[in-house]
Amino acid sequence: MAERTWRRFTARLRGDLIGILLLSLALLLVGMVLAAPWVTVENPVETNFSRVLLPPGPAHWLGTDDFGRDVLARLLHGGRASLSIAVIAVMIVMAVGVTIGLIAGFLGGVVDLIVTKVIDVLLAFPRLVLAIAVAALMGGGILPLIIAISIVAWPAYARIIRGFTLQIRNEGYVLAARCLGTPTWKILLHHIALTLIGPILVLGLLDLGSLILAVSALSFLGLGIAPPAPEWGAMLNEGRTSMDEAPWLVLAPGCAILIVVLALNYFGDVLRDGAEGRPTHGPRHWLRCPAILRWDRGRQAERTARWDRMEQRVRAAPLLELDTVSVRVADARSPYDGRVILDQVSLAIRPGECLGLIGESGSGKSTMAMLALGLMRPPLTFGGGRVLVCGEDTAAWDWDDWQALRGRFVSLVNQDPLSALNPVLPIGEQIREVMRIHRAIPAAAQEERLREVLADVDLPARVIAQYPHELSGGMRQRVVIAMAVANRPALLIADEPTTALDVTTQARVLDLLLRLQQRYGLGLLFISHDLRVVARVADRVVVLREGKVVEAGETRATFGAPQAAYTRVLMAAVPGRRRIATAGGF
Amino acid sequence: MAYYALRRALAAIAVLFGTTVVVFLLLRLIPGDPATAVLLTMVTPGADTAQITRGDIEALRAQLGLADPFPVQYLRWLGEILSGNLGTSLRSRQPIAEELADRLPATLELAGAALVVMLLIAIPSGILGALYSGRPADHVTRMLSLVGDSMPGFFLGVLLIYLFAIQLGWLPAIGRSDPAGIVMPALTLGLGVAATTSRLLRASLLDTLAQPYILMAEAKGMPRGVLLFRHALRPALIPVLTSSSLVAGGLLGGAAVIETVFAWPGIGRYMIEAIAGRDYPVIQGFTLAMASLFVAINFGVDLLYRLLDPRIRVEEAPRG
Amino acid sequence: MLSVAGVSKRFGSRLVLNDVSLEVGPGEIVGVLGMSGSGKSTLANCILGLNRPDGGTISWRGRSLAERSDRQAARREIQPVFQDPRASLNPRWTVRRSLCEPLDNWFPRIRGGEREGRLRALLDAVALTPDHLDRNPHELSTGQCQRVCLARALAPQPALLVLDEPLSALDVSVQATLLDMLRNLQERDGLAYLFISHDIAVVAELCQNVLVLEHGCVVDQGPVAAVLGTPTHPYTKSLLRDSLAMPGSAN
Repeated sequence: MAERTWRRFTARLRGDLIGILLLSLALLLVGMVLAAPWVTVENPVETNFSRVLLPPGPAHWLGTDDFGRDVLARLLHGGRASLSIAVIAVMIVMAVGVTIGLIAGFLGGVVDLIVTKVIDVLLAFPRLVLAIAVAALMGGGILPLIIAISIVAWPAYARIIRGFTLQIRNEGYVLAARCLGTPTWKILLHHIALTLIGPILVLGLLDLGSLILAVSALSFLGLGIAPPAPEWGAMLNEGRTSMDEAPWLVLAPGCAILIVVLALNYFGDVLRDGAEGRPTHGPRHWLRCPAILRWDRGRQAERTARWDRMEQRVRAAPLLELDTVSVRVADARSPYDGRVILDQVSLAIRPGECLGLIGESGSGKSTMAMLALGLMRPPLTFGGGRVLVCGEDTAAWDWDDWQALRGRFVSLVNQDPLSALNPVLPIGEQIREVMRIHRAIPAAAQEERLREVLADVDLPARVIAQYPHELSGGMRQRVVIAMAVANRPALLIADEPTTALDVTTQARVLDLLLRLQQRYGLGLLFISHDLRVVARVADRVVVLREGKVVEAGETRATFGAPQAAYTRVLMAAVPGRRRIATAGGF
Repeated sequence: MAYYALRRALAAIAVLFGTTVVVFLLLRLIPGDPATAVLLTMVTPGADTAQITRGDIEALRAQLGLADPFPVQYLRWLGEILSGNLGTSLRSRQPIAEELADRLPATLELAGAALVVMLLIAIPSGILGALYSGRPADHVTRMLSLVGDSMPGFFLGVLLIYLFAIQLGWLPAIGRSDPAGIVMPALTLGLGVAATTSRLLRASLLDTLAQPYILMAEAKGMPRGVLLFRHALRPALIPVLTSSSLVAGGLLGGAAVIETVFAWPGIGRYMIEAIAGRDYPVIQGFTLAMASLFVAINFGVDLLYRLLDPRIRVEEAPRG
Repeated sequence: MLSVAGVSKRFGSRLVLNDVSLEVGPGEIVGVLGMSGSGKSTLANCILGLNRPDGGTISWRGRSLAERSDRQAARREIQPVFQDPRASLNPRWTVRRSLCEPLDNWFPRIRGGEREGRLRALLDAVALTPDHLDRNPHELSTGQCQRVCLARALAPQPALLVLDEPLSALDVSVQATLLDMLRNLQERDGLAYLFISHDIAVVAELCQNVLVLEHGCVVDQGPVAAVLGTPTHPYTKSLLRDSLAMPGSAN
């Protein structure tokens, strides 16, 4: 684990010029601070009025201050105070925060209640204000400074650790460990604390930076080490008065703080990204500015003409036609680089027909859905073949060409109704916007149409003002279907539309889809891993395995006498085949 | 909504009582006998400490109510606080509540201006960073926000004074008499908190853009503007709002430092002057006032949170 | 062996389980059929000791699990397999470490070659090979992860497995393999299963007895052939009507 993080860290660093520069600068500075007595022979506190405010030069690299003291010597000796106070404070804060957070999170109950209340109260003070008050009342100096900063910093820490603990406590593997008889202390240590060690260290690193800032701010306000002993924040404050003639007095300590804190934050960030293993999101080039600003009159006219052509053909031509389409992963960084997702797939959906696409996970069936909507994203790329929508070749289409068709000509119902609806918009708004954007329905008729589609999917009109979280899974899936058919599209892509639903709800939603298909004359591409579902709705089926079509034909013929071995395997795998015959209920 | 507001208000009041306990206990941090300490600072340096009589100390102890047991002291003090009496400044002998009230508008003005600066910087740069993630624009905004995060506010303030007041002479270095005087303090304070917010917004927007409902909205044929501003930005702002207490804390806490740098006549500077004069009642009153202000802001944020996120139920506290 | 009598559980104001009773005998497979929100997972958690019931008793071999000492003993003999196999394995642990956790908890004296032998036997039982031992969960398929979970549950040599939707996250063909595996294990070791599922067909195929849960209440209970073959209760009937038939036998 640590090894992997380290490897990621060095890999990140390689080729990162700013990072290397920052790291070496900060290391150099910290190294010089640690070795201060050997780096400079100057005394940091001795005044010498014969050399007041000398500019930086060979004798005094960073010049001298208004008491004739060497700024470099003060900087290096001062750094020892600043850094050691921050490091000690971080260790105290981590120890206190982690212990309290872990205990409160794991035990819960009264302990947790008391701890959270105390944390709430302490966090009700602006951090710096409380630190200033504590340090001021204790009279300034190193120890009060450490205490002030620790008191202020531990609650936030404890709260984060408590949150992590609560989350991990309910993970399946912790529950399993409890059933497996692992003692509580072992669970806390092995499953929780060791899982948290990465985040804790990163937090500590990031916090070290903010604590150095806090230490220097308090010193700046005169609450730190008593003068003439040097400290970075205090040096900056002293230098302010003679800033116009000697800017180096301010620049030296200011830059020192900046470099150290910046390096800490930078690498804290890098480590955090490494530890969290944040998935690299696909590039959102379609949202970027140049594309937003591009508005091409010619293309707009072409789109209108295309739409007219398609309207004429919509009853005759296949709605969607794939002609030996191949898709593969093209991303040098991905472990799946070069993998073939779809391999020379050909299929066609005719108007008003339901095509069932059967495939297990990894068969490329969801890629098919994305293909039909023009939503295929890097790292997936075309490897050849043609995709025709209503007889139009889509090879040259860009995002905007597809956008004009999505929700109007072709729409999508996908697997998880829980996450398919925007949580912060009312249902009515989410259906209205499909009609508003595409202007397929006259503005005056949109309200009426909204009620009509809701009636179509058997939802009461009250859902218009409701939010997704107020509806059950089945109702949400009905909302998604209503959105999909609002503009009376010709083609509906249903990607595992009932997988997340209960048997009862599943049956209702399937009936609903079939009914709508008949009413609107929809072409339906029905994608599922469940043969039983597909058998119920599809006119024709296509069986997909690892990107290849292994069998295609009429539903009844295919299931009656499957040709491909894989289809037979799938059919044999359907549960209940043996016993149900004897149980006889069906 | 009303029920939710009531619940949050009650929670805020409970926290406020907690803060009074902490503030009350703070005074016990003063090393030695507080009354003596206070008296000692009131005599001019070099004066004969023998001049302080036992009677002086006793009188002061009585004035500060230090002779009674703690709970009694606390309750009496709480009673005074609730009736709006924060005590009297040891130096100016004026009621602290009035002195704070005189200076509060200047601080609020500064914090408000800094908030505007922050929003103007953080929101565009956060969006830019998310949309161009992994591209040069992202690297630049990310580096800038890292620098902003790592830059001590007082250093930035001093640099700005040096550049724009001393070298260029464009802006007044200190004070509130000139309307242009607010530019530099607001910029300094705003930049510091903008960095954090910008990074949060970037991360949150990236997460939101990867959500299935954004894909669904795209599949519905929503154009770019609708996708970004209507579907992605609002949910993305929710976690940013959660951290707004961090921002408010940064603004209020930073004010003490920044007001000192720019000699801005707000309550932060009043506090720092009080520290120099060991005016303990003022420090106490200031801390309590800041905490109350902070709790009030957080309460407002809670209400805003509810407006932004319909999923929040009454039982759930937004933070945590 | 396991006896659940009149168990109730409420979360806040919601009554999740209402007076649920069931028995599982040695080597018996009992199915719990329920839709989402029926309280079937809460029932599993109560039996596993992860939730404490508000009312009723759960006893194991005649001793109540409310007693601390009896619970420890029962823990070894009742083992779980959860729905999401990926979440059930510590993502940082290799398969070996996950499997050794129960072995070291219950048989700390077994070390070296003998422990290695046990590991082999466990892997063998779920048709995995020894070279899976040093892999992390993210290097395995979901089906393989679920088999590791199953092997881990077998490690303490339990008498009863509580299977909470163990197949729901899996592909159909993988489901079939796992179902066969469960059946073979039951025949080989005489294990008893409490099999919790929303899929009528799976329950019908695997279980001997079944109880149907609706909103935390047992609405129907009995041998599978009776309950599902000749349904009498309206809720069971509606479930059967809504579940999909096999292709081929359809229409």
